[in-house]
Amino acid sequence: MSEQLRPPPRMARWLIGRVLTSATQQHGVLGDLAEEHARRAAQDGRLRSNLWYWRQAALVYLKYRLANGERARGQRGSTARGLVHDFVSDMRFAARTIRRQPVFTTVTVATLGLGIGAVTSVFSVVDSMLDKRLPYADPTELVTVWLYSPAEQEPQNDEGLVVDGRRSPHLTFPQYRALAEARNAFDGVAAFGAGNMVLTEVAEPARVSVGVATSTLFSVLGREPVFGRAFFLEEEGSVAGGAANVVILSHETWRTRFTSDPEVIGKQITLDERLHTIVGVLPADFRIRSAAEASTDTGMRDLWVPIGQPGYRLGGIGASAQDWEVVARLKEHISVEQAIVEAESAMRARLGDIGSRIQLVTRLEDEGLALDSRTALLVTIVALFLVITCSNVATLALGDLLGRRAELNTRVALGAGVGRLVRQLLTESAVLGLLGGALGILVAFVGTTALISLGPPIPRLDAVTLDLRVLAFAVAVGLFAGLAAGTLPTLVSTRGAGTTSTLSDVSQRTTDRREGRIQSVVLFFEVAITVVLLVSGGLFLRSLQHMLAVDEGLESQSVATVRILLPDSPAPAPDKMARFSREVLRELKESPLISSASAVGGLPFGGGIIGADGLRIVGSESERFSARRLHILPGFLETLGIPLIAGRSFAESDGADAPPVMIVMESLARRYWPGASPIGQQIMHWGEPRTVVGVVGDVHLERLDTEIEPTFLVPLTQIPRSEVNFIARANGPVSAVFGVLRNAIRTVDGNLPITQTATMSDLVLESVKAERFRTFLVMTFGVVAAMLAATGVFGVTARSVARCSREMGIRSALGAQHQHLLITILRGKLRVATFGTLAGLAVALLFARLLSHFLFGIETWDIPTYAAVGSLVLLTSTVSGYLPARRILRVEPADVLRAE
Amino acid sequence: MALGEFEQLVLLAILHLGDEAYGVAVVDAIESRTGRSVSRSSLYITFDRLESKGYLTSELRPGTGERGGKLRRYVAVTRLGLDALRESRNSLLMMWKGLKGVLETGK
Repeated sequence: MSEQLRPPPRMARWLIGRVLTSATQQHGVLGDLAEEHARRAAQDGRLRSNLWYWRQAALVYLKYRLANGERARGQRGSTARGLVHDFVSDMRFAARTIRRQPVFTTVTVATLGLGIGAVTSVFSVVDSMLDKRLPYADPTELVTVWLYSPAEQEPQNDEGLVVDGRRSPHLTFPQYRALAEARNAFDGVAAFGAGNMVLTEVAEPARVSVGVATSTLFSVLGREPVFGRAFFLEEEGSVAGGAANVVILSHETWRTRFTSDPEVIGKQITLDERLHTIVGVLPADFRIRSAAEASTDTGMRDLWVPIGQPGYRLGGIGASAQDWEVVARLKEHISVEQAIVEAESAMRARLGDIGSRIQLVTRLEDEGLALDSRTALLVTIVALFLVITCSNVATLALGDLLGRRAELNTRVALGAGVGRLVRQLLTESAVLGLLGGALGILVAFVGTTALISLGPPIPRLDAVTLDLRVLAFAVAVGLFAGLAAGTLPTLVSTRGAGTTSTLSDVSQRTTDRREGRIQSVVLFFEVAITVVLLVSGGLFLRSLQHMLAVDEGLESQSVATVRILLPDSPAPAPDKMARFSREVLRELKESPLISSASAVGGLPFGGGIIGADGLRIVGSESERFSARRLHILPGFLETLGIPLIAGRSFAESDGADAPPVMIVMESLARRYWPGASPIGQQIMHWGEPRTVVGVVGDVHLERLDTEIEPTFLVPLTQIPRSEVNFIARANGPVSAVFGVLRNAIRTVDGNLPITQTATMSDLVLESVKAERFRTFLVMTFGVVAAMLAATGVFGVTARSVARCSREMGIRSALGAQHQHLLITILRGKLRVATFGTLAGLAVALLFARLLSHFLFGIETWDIPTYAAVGSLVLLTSTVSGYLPARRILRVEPADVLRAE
Repeated sequence: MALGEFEQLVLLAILHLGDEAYGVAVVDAIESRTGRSVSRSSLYITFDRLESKGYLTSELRPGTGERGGKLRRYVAVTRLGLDALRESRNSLLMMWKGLKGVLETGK
């Protein structure tokens, strides 16, 4: 063209050149733009032409930058380095996206954090419970010996095991000795038990837990002391006619009481007022749980003494009683069945027919390492809760991604592969999940602390810590939850991305419909699960109510209790006992704060009541029965408000030298003397006849949800116990009485350790701690789930309001009633909520059958619970749908039409 | 894969132009026939994308005009491109079938 024509601006050309990679592009784009630039310059002048060129340059630069980036990412995806590069840039992009949406991010992370925190707390608890690392050598060879008595009509399950619970791991000492002879079955057999002794040191006397073991225990378990030695056979009382005064320390005791003194072996300590020589120190992780109490017993003892320790007899019952648990190591290549045959024949050879069969249970099972129902319940509840949080986040993410449809379409149009987009979006989900995981760790920290402070029903709860494994778990759950919640929305929003024009109305509506369907499904499940959780919580709550409504048989208000442990195991001499308690009670009665006081060995709800005694009514040889025993002093009935129904209460005169007497509880009297008075009857107990002098009202002994057990009362002065609870009814506030109690005991004997102080009402409440804990936990999850479901309904409705406002505006302009519009908007959501609720109720009905053995006083189909939960969830859904839907009423038809 | 609207316009313009199809000519062809203005940057990116999909080929040849020493990128529709166009047309026609009345009253 003409001479004066100048080329396009150099800078602009340079800019374009920077993004064009191939020669074809450079020739095509730069050449074309130069051609047009020249033409425009001739028509519109140089300035406008240059401006036009700059504009094109900028657009080309931006669009090619974007397209190159997407393509480059799409291609690089195939190599490992490319993947890393992609990942890093995805993370950066995700961080930017997340920062751009503070509200979405906050809500999502908070929801995830809640779910992950809950799961992590429960994981840390369950993890410590399921600590599979049994601290024994070859733990699979170790079995516990159980006895069971097959009666004619014994119910059996498919494996032929007795299922009604009439099996026991408690053996007599002779039975243990017989098993030890079964050398064809076992490589080693050991017996052990547990109790308490008083360790008197220079400072405070302390009650310590003591394990009692045969000399074989440590070798059978394959754990020898780290210092010193195990017990010798000669040190067993059963062999030498009185065990040696030797003791093996636990690692913990050695560390805390002996400051890890390496010279501790050979030193002497005073146990129950006897000098004992320390002969060994156990490894730190040594434990052996009682199979009978595997769910609550830590298996850790402060000290170990050899079996048959002089003066030491478990729980006040002789060593001949059924108190020993027996653990054995199976011989190699012998099956459990063969071992049972061998063991039973060994038992028969020494003891004749004992009327019981032997069962061998592996230690693994005995230590409760199989998931028990409580743990399974907890895990189920928390898994359901995690599903809810994930679905909630999924609906959030779906809404968010559909809002970003334009962005996604643009990126596909610019050359990003759909797979690439999916990866990008999932990275975003993962980042959100990780943030949620981080918050979850905080929540778990609080949650675990709460679990520990609230709950006793979980074994080894005190050992729960948030360790690295738990943190790793939180992160893993976070990732999983983020991805789980992100996958569905990602697939939905990227399906068909790019094939449709960004602004096309048709595709918009198709996607809306799809989105609506998916949201309905998610909402449905959310509501249903919420209902299941709430019904479970509701059933627990009603069950707890029923339990608390049970008459415990005593007036627990305003009663203070203090437990002491007298040093003489198992029991002090009767006269010493009488003198001591009389002196303490005299001190107490002088206090104006106390209206009545007494003492009891085996306090109801105090956890110190010993097994059951065999009784026989004198004069009727056939009537043998067993009953539980309380040791009381005069004033016990008055102090606890237990009514005297017939006869008399104990008096000061019922001392050690007076004729043996007892009082029976009403239900016992009714069962064995139906229609007659037991007063004056004699009952054989421990080989001597006791005269029944009174009948008192029934009292629950340990739990409110069990039947009243046959119980009798004996004077503490006639049968002393080392564990005594002083009880005092307060005139005024009960808290003021504890000091009086403590002072009174200290005045009489300053050396006695006080092991437990509690109000009677607290003890009763304590007995339902497991139930309260369970109720609280499930209710909390249920309520939070309900809140999440409510936000879900809210969000979904709000979005559909935003989407429908145009349609509604038009309808309203055409004369539709506002109420009708509201109903139109709400109808779909409420239908989903209703179906979800109904489905939830149906599932809850099935789920509740799994809970049935946790329930007390109500049926699994307790109608009030289901009705309440159903209406509550429906009401909540309606309200949380109504609030955003109301906005539709404020849509001005004119505005909508103008926007059209 | 179905063609986007803009992609169809570009391919059709190329077919109209025959041997003379290059950037500026395509822009002119679309603008003069549809009255819509065409974004240059989108056009070049669309060229690249259609070429990578195999719907068109391009060839650098010298041409007239003030191009600052650059060659023209002449483009041609491939058989694959024709197939894609045909498919897009068919689906549109199928959709339009029976809607003649709507079109006329809508006018």
